[in-house]
Amino acid sequence: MRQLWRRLRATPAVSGYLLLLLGIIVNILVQGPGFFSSSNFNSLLAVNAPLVLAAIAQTVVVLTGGIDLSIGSNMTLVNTLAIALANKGHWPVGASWTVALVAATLVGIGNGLMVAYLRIPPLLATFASMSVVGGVALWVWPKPGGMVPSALYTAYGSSFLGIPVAGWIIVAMGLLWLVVSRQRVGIYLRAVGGRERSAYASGINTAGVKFFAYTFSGCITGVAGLCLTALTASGDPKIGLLFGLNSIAAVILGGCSLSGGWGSVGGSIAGALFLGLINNIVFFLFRNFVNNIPGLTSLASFYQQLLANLIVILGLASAALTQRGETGVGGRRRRRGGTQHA
Amino acid sequence: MPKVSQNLRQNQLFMAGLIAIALFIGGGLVNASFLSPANIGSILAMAVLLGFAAAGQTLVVIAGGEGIDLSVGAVMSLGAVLAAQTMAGQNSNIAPALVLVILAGATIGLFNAAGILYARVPPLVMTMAMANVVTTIQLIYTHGSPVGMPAPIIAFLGSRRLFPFLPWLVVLGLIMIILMQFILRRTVYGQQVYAIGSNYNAAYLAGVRAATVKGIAYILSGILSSLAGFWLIAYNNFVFVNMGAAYVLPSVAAVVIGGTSLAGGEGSYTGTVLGSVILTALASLLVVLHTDEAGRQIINGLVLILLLALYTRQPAIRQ
Repeated sequence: MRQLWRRLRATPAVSGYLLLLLGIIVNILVQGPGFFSSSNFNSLLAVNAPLVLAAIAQTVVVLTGGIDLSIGSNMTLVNTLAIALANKGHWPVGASWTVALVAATLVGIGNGLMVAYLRIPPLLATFASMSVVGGVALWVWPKPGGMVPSALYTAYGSSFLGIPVAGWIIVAMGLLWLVVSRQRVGIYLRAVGGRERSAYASGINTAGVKFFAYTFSGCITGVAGLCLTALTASGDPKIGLLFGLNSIAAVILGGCSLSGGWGSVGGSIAGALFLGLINNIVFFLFRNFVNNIPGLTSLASFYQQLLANLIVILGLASAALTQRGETGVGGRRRRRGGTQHA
Repeated sequence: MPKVSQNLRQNQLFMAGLIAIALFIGGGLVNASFLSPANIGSILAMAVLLGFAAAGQTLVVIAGGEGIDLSVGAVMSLGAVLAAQTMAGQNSNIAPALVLVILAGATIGLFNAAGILYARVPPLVMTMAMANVVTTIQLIYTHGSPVGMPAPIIAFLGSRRLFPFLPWLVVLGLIMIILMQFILRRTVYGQQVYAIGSNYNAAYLAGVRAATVKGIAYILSGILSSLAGFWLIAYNNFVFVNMGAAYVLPSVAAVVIGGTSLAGGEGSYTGTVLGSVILTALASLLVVLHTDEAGRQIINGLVLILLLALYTRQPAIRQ
């Protein structure tokens, strides 16, 4: 038991797992036994899979010391493109979804070119591409609407072998990352994020590694966008607005360091699920306990938002506090623990 | 001579000025009325508003440590709502409104500073989470539909013009530039901000109370953003929820285009204002060209990429 605890402490994801555990416990307390029903699991995973996948995409970039603000508009692009090609262009659904996935990967390639080879700071480069990609999405499908074959979204919401389909998608992406992170390039990702100069000095093609990170992240963002499309079953040029920043919040909750090299995909998945659970908790808290107070009902949704946002801040603060090996207040981030971990 | 031209090319203020002038000339070529005094005046007025919004951002970015303030827009909205509600169209209410706006901004800045310094949340995420909280507080406070309007004097300063090409707001903007440059260049505090921005540990070891200086930068940023909201309703003369939200990312862009490095330790407020002029002139040029919203976003992003590639490129790792 103590050994398990020590091993857990040594992973960067500990804050993410602990927060998720706490979230689940509180959720059970406020929701009651309904939490354990399979339909609840189904809907929880289906609703939160897009954010979870976005968080995985963000983690890959953050590990190299970068950041990707364009994930949200990239997901919007995938959504609008998939809907527009199938509805306006009358393409077969499979083809239009594949094109959307390719487009997302191309956006990733564009980000990679700007960050790795033009050497524009990642925050600014992806901010600029956010504007371009958002504009293209708006041009492709200017108004909310359109539809997805019912077979697709019912399949997305159902379960297979007892596990929700959305869960299978998350598992598949997680396995894909596991394979990639065991390859040479996956190890180089952390090396570049940890200390780029040393990585370069030891013969790593740092620009190439960064380029790979953004491309891979773009591809996963594409899958996230497709999940979002299957979930909402329509196209909307504003659909991805919150995913960019929320994915960054999930990554921090999961214990990653924004300066790179330190973090894990598992933690980020836990962080994203924690963000999803907060909405669940606040919803049931208000439905079961708070709504009896008169005078609050008209503003209940605003108070729900406020409470959820405050919990996120508390989570962020505790996640940042558990990051190990940092020097004093505001000091430069340093790590005692090396960068080797799964 | 080659040395002079090289110096000029490296001087980002000069480059930014050149781009701004080129944008105005380009606008004039497309449509002669672009260069009319009235149009120049309105572009400058909008640029000053963006400049106000980016003032706190400049401070925070110069102070370094991945410093950035994404709560600028939410704080602006809150400032606007508070100012409109407190002034309620009465000149006698200006002082209480100003006090309330400044206090609100300072409080939010204080929370940002606490989260960044003590809980060690990265500034990007902390200020973003704070922005969400402030936005919902604003919604609860106003029940979704804010009321009130600016006092006549303030509305006059915000929307009238001294000359056709010179709105009163631009006069305020010039005062702001002088004030900010004075703070940054001539006060001990300003020098300390540059010091912690260029090397935190060295500044600390040299006796600068680095954490305090950084915390004050975030508090000042909150106050300045809140005041920017005050002038936003003066310019618009009416108030709606989230009216500052559109200023968040442009404020970062203005700071960077103005030659302030995101790594911290260098830059100036004059540059930020020039960056605001560039962004506003570009947006106005796209309106003149009758591009739709989608086209405007695409061109805006592409021009931004071009500007970034021109002069925010980091040195190659090889050096």
